[in-house]
Amino acid sequence: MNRQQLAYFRVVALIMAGLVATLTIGNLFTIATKGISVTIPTEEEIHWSIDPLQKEVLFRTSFSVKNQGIYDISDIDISAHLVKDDMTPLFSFNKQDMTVLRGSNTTFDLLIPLNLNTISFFDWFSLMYKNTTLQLLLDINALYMFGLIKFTANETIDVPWSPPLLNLSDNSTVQAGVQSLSTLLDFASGKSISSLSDIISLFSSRNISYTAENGFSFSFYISNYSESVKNITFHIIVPILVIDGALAFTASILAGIDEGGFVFRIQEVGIEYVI
Amino acid sequence: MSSRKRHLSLKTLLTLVFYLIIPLCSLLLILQVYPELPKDRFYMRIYWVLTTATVIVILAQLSTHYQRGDTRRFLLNIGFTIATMIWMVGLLGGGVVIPMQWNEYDFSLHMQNYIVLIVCVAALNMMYYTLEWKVYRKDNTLFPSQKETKTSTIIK
Repeated sequence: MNRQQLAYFRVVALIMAGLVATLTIGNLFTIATKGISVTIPTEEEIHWSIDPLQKEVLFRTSFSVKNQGIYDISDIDISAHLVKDDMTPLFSFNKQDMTVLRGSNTTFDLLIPLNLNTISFFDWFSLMYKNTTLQLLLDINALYMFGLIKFTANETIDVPWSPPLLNLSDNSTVQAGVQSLSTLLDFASGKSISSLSDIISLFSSRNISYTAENGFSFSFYISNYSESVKNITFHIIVPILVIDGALAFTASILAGIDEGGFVFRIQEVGIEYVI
Repeated sequence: MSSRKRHLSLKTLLTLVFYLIIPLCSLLLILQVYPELPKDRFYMRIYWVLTTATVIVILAQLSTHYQRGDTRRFLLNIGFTIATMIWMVGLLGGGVVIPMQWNEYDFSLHMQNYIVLIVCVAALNMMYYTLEWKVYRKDNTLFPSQKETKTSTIIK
């Protein structure tokens, strides 16, 4: 290599070094000064509706990304999981390969279908009567500067949950009945252990039939299945106040004592949308 | 101007402006304009920039005291390149993963690919300095009376 070639090489090396140093200072400005920012929707900006034929709840919302940097933001992936306090997943949502061009403010519309069939009856029902805090687990990934910088955010957002069943009825007998049903379902699904006092309290329960003005309905029937086993049937109708229709919960459980010990067996559980 | 040339080379001046004054002004400007940003991280960056940029400027100035092909100049140039690499990493936050915060939300910037780019450019510069050292050393051995004449006009 002669001196002339060396001089050319020097120019290339200098330009590259200068370019990288400039990029470093530019990135520092863009990233540190919120040149890139995300606007997450507030609670009021989340709309939802029910598709009874598909048995789906559709959530509609949008979020916007402001990119005042000098490069496009590419491969934006969003993954959201709504879980109960015991980390039971209620629904998951993924959206991938979104892009925000440089100098733009882009709004993404999200349509999130939540299929009722994918959530177990027990998880649904416990949400109907239990005060809890749901957690929204958010994972966001994106690439910036031709993939040289990767952006990741893992957020856990607490969503306080107020149970609609207990809010719909002030009747203490109904609330006690709902609690009894949840206890029964926990026994039957093996989530907790029963005792003799549980059986006695169930056997001493009386039939309840209650309908509120807002359409909320709760019925509790207990009948003999055999000499020492009772058939307990619940039927709960929860009106969906924002649209026409209601969710109907049905549960039928055998409870009692036979030769093998305590019996808690689910005969039937179901949830359906009714107009 | 001529007296400045004798004391401070063009390379040193450019290094002073590019690696010390501009980034320092940028950092101070960000701190002034965005007081809500966590100050500790920026003070740490300012510390890094001051330290590494001072070393870079000293190395740049020292290297111009020796002829091309001189082993001491070669070693100073390699040190200069390594110091610029450390400067860039320090200015970005000092690690491969940089934790940041907007309002109450935490997020991370993964700089692995960017660091690879910085290392590649540093390797390119080191390759240049190595070739420069070899070519000029050979020439100096073959033509010991030939003096370098363009040292004042070319960025070394």
